[in-house]
Amino acid sequence: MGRGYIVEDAVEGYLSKLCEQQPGPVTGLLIGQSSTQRDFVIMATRTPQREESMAAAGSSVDKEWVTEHARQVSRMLPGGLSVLGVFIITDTDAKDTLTTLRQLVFAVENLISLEHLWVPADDDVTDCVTLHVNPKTRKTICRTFDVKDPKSMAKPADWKYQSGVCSSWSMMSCCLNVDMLVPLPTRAGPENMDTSLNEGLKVWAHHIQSGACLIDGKKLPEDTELTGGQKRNVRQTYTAQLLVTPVRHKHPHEQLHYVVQQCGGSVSVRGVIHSRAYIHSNKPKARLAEKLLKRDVVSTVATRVQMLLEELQVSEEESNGSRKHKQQTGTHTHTNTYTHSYIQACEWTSSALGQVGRLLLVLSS
Amino acid sequence: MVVSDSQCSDTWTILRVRGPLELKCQLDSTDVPLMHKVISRTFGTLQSLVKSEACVLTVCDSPVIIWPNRGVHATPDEITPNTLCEDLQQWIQTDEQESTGKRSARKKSKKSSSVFTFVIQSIINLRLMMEATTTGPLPPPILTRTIKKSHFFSTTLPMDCVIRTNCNDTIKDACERLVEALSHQLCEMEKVILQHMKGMTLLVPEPLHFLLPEPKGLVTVVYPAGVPDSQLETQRRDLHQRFELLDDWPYFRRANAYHFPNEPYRDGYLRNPHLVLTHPTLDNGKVYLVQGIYSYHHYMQDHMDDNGWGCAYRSLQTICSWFEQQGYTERHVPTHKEIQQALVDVGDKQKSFVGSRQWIGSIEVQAVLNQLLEVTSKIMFVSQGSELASKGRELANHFLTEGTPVMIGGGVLAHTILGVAWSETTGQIRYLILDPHYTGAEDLQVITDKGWCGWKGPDFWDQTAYYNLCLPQRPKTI
Repeated sequence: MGRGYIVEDAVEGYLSKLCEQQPGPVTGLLIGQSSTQRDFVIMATRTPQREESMAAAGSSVDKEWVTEHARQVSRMLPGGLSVLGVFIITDTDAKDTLTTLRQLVFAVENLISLEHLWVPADDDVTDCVTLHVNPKTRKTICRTFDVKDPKSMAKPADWKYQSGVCSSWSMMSCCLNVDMLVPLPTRAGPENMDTSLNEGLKVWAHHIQSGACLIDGKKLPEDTELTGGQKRNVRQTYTAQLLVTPVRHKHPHEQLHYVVQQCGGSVSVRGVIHSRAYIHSNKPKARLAEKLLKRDVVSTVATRVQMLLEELQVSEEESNGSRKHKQQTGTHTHTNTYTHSYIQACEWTSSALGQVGRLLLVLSS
Repeated sequence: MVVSDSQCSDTWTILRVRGPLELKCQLDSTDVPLMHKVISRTFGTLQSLVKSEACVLTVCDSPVIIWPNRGVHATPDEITPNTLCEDLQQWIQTDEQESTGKRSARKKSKKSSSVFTFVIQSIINLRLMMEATTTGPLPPPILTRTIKKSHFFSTTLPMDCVIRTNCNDTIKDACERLVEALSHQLCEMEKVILQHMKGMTLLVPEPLHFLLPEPKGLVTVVYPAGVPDSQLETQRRDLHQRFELLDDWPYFRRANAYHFPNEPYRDGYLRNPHLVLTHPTLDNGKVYLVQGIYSYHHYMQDHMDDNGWGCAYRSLQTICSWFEQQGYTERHVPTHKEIQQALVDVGDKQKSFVGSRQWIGSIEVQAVLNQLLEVTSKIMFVSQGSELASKGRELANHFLTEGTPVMIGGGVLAHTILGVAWSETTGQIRYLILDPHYTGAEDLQVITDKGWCGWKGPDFWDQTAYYNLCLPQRPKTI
C-alpha cells in the first residue's frame, strides 16, 4: 500500500549512463510532482562534483554538498516541480545505503522547507522518495520516508518507468505586479535589510496565499477537475489572475491600529515578474493548480528580491574598493549564489530552466 | 416600459463594499506641512488605485467578480454591465448550496415594522480587492533603498461604503457610484488623519453608517478611532446642520451606528424582540412604540439567579441598555450590585442593601437612572390598576416625544412597557409588555410565542393594586 512513482523513461537512461560512468557512489536528486493522487518523477540530476574533492572522489557522500545542491536546484525549478527525493548509485550494502539515503532525504527536505515563505497546506504530500541503484546488477530499491515524522521508517514504493509522462502536462502562468515598501530598522546594515525584506516578503506571501485565484477569467470551485491533458502531446495552457486584499492574520476584531515607527530608511521593490506552474495530467484539481502557481509566484519574487539585494551589496562593495573574495574556501564554489554576481546567477537559472524546458519540449513532440 | 420611481421605492437593494487598503509612507521630516504633503501624496496613490483597472469588487458568497474600471467587466459571463443590481441576489450562495450557479427562487428578507427602520429588501455585501496580476507593461523588479533616520507610517484603512439602489439600477450604475463612494471616503479619511495629527501620533479613520429619517436613508461618516463621542460634538453639530436634523436626537453618536441585519451582536442579548410581532389593530387606533434599540434583560441572565426578586432590576437594565445603545451614555448596563450601590450612594438605602435580594420600585429606578446615567424620569401614579386603561393619551405622548421604555411596578410585579396601541375615539387600549420574569434562553421564537414579549389587554393589570410608572426622559442633546 505504498506510494507509486510514475517515472519518465529518460530518467532510466540517465541513471544507466551514470552507472557506467564512474566508480564510487554517485548521488543526485529526483525531480517531479507529488500530489495526493499520483507521484511523477520527470527528471534526475546528479550532484555536481566538487573541484577540491576530485582526489577523494568515490570515498564518501558529502551530505552538506548534496543538500546545498538540492537547495540551489529547488530555487531554480519552475512552479509545479520540486525535489521529490534523492538517488544514489553504489554497490554498497543495501541496509547501509538506506541509512545514508534516509539522512540525505531528511537533510534535503529540512533545508529546502526552511526557505519556503508559505504555510504548508493540509493536503501537501510529506513523503519523500529514495532510490538505490546497484551499478552492477542495475537493481533498483525504492523506499519512501515521511519527512514530517522524524521517527518514520522506510516504506516500500513502486517505481515504474513510462514514456511521455509529462507530455500532456498543463501550464498555468501569470504576470504579477509587485509593489512592496518595508521600513528599515534605525541601525540599518546589510543584514538588517535582508531581515526586513524577509519580514515584508512573509506578509506579502500571506496576502497572496489568502487571496483569490481565477483560472482563465473564472473563479472555479476547488474540486473542479481541470480538463487539460486530455489530448496527448498537446499542452493546455491557462492564464491565472490573482486577487489580493491586505488581510491581517491577527484577531479579526483588532482592526484599527496604526503604527508610526522610527526607522532608518526604507526599501521598495517594484516591478513585474512572470510566473508559471506545471500541473500533472491525471485529473488535476483547481485547488492544486492554484496552490502550485501561488507558491511559484512567492518563490519567484523571493528569489528575485534576493538577487537584487546581492546585486546592490556587490556593487556597493565594489564601489567601496573592498573586493570580497569570490571563492570562499571550504564551501561551495560554483553553486553558492551568495558569492555569485547577479548575472551569473541568472545564467545558471536559465540553463537549469532550459534543461527542464527542453525536457518538457522534447517529450511533448 | 418605463417603471416610475415610486413603484420601486419599496424595493431598495443596499450594496455595501468593504475592504482594507494599505497606507504606507516614509515621513522623513518632522515639519508638519511636509508630513501632510507626503500623506496626501500617498492618499493620491490610493485614489488612483481605486479608480484603476486593478480595482476589483467581489460579491461575497458568490462566484461573481466585477472590475468596475474595466468597462464593468464581470465573471461569470452571464453578468453584463446591464444586469440589474437586484439580480445579483440570485448568485449569492445560501448554506445549502454550491456557489457556482443561480438560485431558483429569490429569498426576501423579513420586513421590519418599527417606526424607525425602513424597508430593506436585500443587502448585497461586496469585498474590495486588488488584482495583483497584470497584462500591461512588464518592467522587471527594481529595488530602491533610502537610508535616512525618519518615521514610517503604516496602517490599514477600513474602507466601508454603502449605496442604495432601486429596481432599475444596473451594476454599471452601481459601480460608478461605488467607486465614487470609495474615492470620496478616501478624501474624508485623509481629512480626518490630517486634522487629528499631533506630532507623530496619527489616528486611524473609522467609517460608520447612520440611519437618518427618510428620504435621507443611510449616511456614512468617518470618525477618528479612539476619540470619544464627547470630543466630537462640533463634528456632530456640523452634520446635524448639513442634514437639516433637529438637535434633540443623537443621530450621529457612535452607539447609534446602523446595525446591519446580517451581523450578529457580540453580547448575545436579543435586540428589539417586539419587531417580529403583529401589532393590534383597534378602531381608529394607532400604535405608539419605543424608538430605537434596547436589549431584553430578564431573570437568570449573566449567571445571576434573581428569580423571584429581581424583576424591577431587569426592567431597569433594559432601560439602561436603551440609553447605552442610543449613545446617551458610554456606561455599560449595570449589574444588580451596581444598582444597589448606586442607591446606597444617593443615601436611599443602607450599606447592607448591597448583595441583598430586596425588591426595588419605580422610585428607586428613577433614582438609579439619575445617579448612574444623569437621566431624569417622570413618575406616574395610578391608585388602582383599572385606571391604567385611561392613561392611553399620556403613554402615547410619552412614546411619541420620549420614545424610551417605561418601567411599571405594582402589586408584587414589575414589567416594562414598550408601547401602546390606543384609540382616541373608542378608548380601547393595548399594552406592549416586555416581561422580566422569563427564565429561559435567548430564544426569540419562545419569547414571542409564549408572550414574554407581547401585547396585553387592560385586564393584564391587577385591577385593585396601585401602580407606579417610571417614564425616563430623553436628554435633548446630540
